[in-house]
Amino acid sequence: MVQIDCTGKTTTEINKAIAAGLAKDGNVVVKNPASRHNLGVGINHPGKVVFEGNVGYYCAGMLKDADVEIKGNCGWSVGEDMMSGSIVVHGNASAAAGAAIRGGLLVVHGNAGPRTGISMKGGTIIIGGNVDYMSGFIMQKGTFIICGNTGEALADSMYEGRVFVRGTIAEHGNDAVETEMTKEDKAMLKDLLTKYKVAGIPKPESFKKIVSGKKLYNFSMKDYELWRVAL
Amino acid sequence: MARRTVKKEDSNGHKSPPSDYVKPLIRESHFYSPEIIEDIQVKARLGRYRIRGFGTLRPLPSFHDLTFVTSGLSRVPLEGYREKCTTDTILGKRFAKKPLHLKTPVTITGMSYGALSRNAKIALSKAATRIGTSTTTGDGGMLPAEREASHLLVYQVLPSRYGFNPDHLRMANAMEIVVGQGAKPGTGGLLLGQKVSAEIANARDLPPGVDQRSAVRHPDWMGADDLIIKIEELREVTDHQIPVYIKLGAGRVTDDVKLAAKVGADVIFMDGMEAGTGASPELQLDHTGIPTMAALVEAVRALEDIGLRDEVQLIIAGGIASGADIAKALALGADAVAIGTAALIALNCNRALYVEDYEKLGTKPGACHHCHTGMCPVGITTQNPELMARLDIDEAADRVFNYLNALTLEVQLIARACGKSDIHDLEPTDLWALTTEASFITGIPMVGSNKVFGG
Repeated sequence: MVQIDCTGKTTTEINKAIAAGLAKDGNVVVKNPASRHNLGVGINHPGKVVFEGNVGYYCAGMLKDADVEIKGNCGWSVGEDMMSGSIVVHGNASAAAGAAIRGGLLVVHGNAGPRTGISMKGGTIIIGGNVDYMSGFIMQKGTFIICGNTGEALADSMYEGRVFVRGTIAEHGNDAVETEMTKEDKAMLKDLLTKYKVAGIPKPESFKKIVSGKKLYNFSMKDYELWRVAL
Repeated sequence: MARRTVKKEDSNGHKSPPSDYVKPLIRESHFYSPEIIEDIQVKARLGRYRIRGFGTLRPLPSFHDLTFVTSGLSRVPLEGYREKCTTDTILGKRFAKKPLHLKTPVTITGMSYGALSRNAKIALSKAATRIGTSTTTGDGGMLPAEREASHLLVYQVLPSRYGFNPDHLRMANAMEIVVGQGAKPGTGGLLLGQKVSAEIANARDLPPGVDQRSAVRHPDWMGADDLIIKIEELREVTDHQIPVYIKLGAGRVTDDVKLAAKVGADVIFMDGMEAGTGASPELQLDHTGIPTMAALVEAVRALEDIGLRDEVQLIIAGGIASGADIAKALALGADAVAIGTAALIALNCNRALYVEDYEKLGTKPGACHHCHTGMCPVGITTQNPELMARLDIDEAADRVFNYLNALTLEVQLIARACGKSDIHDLEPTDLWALTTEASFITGIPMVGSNKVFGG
């Protein structure tokens, strides 16, 4: 295991040390992250990285291949543009957690802010607590699981993908509609929630499933009221 | 009282009008012109705003309204074909370890694989490589063949993040954070369903055939304060090697340029109102943003205000079509220009080939702005394999290369005539304004009067 103390180091020095540690040992522990921004961005080597404390913006952004654990809270856009690998946040996440991810897995055990999972293009996001407004906005693909409540405009204008919500939904976004869960959905929920021990492992049956109504795919005067808001 | 005389009936039995008869003119309303009437009636059928490609069709104050005052007794010219006049252009020398060294001040602007055909993208890359300049990806990610054919490739980081891949970012020679575009500032990209083929949909993680309306705000940052941190992230991921451009649609130019410089851009790309697009709401083309020439002078002044004129390079784009436009842009303070529509026209856009297919679209060569339909008769703005095959990559690349070469020679021609051995030495005093409007906008004196109007 390679240990890196952030104290007195520049962001570049920390990130180079993480990359070198992964290449050398495959196990890296980052101490005293002190809510600093851009820690562990652009990791593209298999292995495990643990941040022992709070991190700032863009932690583990553009991640590939590695498994990242954050033993604290994180700032904006944790794991944005992730391609693969996993990120587990033990505390809360700020705005835009998992923005535009194309793959991989993000788990936030606490609450997450607005725009969680915005522009998701693949992968999986699991939030143990609540999310705020515009979460899942323009979702394109992937799986988004929220064990708590949501803010307004949930999954507004989503193209594809699936959203699961256990708590109350303050407002469905445009063209985000509820549908029946399949056996596959329930099995997937059970597996993931059990594996990552999220929110006391709630029962899959307690979730609602949200998908795209596909009425915004192509402009139609028939759905004028919907387009009036969405255009 | 004069008596009206009525002529005899003609052979068809029609009576001729009286001799003092005045045939009333068919008078068109100046306000409810045929164009306005057509616009209202099209919207009455569509139920939404009109969408089309190309760019604004309205007249705007432009570089055309300026003229060069070349050498004479008061200034010595260079020999046109013999004395050296360099065109080398360096972009991104503020913070990046590897600035871009171009052989010409003309670059190829960002246009997506999706808006353009694969053949068009590759032809542009080949031409740019041969002349020694950069080309740019677009809203849909990096096409591998485009990377392969481009010596210098600028990778766009867009609000939609369609196809965004950190590996592609690392393969790029520069990155361009797109905040806005000149054709439709304040809105995201648009690609109508007929162009979202299975391949394009796959690259963008979208269902095939959807009317794709891209996000306008970036998903992971909101304002300039966040952007400082985002840029640090992008530099970390690319090891601080490649330049960071920020692309702005010309609007609130002074404030936007100061902020872009402040947040750490190496290069600012200012896209004026005349800029082109594959598809845009028509009213945005004609009624949002400010013209390229005005945006340029405002941007230069903004950089001077904050003392970063020599550190941050400025690329200007939007309606640039000739060496004269480029020379004037350089004289007003641009470090380089970017062309989009003009490069497509060099490819064959609006050329009189397959005329029957222009007619099917309800248009004709020379007036086609139907990029949004995906039915481009010359294979440029289409994903239809049969249409795309009409654009031979190598022949198209030759035409664009020739055009880029011609533009570069034209700029040199003017620079030499003005007595400059480097095109970047062109300056505002080499110019005079032909209209009071241009004088007012640029601060360049009006011909004959030696006065700056409004200055």
